[in-house]
Amino acid sequence: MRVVFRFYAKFREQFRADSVEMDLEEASMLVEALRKLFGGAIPDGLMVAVNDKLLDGLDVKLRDGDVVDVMPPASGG
Amino acid sequence: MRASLVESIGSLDRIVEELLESSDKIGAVCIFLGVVRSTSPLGRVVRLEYEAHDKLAGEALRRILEEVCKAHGVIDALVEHKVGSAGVGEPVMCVAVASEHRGEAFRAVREAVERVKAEAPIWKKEVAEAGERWVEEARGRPLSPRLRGLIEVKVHEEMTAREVVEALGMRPGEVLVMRNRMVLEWDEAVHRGDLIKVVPPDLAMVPSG
Repeated sequence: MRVVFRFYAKFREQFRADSVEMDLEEASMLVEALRKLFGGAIPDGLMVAVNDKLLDGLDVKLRDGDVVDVMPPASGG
Repeated sequence: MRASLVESIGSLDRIVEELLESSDKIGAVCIFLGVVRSTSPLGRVVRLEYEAHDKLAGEALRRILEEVCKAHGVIDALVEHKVGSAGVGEPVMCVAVASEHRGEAFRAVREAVERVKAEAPIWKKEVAEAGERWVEEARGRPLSPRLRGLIEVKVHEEMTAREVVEALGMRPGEVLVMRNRMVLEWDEAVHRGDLIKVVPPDLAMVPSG
C-alpha cells in the first residue's frame, strides 16, 4: 500500500522534500513506518496527524492512501 | 470567539472593540502581544519566519480558546497568530480575553498563551546575523495521554497546585486542581493531608476559587 508523508518546518529541510510516498505492507503500524522513515529512533516531541487528524499516540494502523503529517514540536508565539 | 492565522496582527483598538461587542457585562479586557525581539543565541535577529499547518493550527487555536474560556468562565476571547516573515519589533501573536472581572482574564490569557505556544502546529525559524535555526522549545508533550476522568490525590507535603500537576506529569491547562469543589489558582498552596482532585477542565462544574 502507498502512504504519503508530508513534512513541516525542520523536517522539510531534513528530508529535502515537501513529501515522500512510501510503499508499505498492508496494515503497517504508523510507529514502524516512522522508524523506517527516520532510519531508527523517532524524534522526541514529534507531532503527527493522519488524514488531517492530530494523533495522541503512534499506535495506529495505516491504510492505503493515508496522508501522514510529520511535524516538529510546536514553537509558535 | 475567533482564532485566526494572519499576515499581520490587527490593531489592538479593533481587537478590543470586537471583544466588547460580545457583552455589556465585560469589565476587563486582558491582552498579550508577542513581539519579535532582536536577541537570540545566534546573535542579532534579522527576522523570524513562521509556518503553520493551516487546518490543524486553526483547529488547535479554536480548541484552546474554547477550553480556556470554559475553564476560567470568561466571556469571550480571540487569538491572532502571524504566518510568514516578521521583522524585529513586529507583533506576531495576540491573545485577548474579555471577562466580567480581571482575575479570570489574567489567568485565562496566561493559560491561552502557554497552550498556543505548546500545542498549536506553528513553527518559527530564527534568521540571525550568525546563522539560522528552527526554534525548539523544551516544553509540551503533544503525544502525551489526556486525562478522561479525575484523579484523587492525597498531598504529603506543602506544594502549589501547579507543582501537584507537574509532579503527575501533566501541564497546567490540560487539567484543573480542585479542593472542596473549588478550583484552585495555580500558585495556591495545597497542604499536607489535603485531599484534592485533578480533573480535566470539562469536568470542573464549579467556578474558580
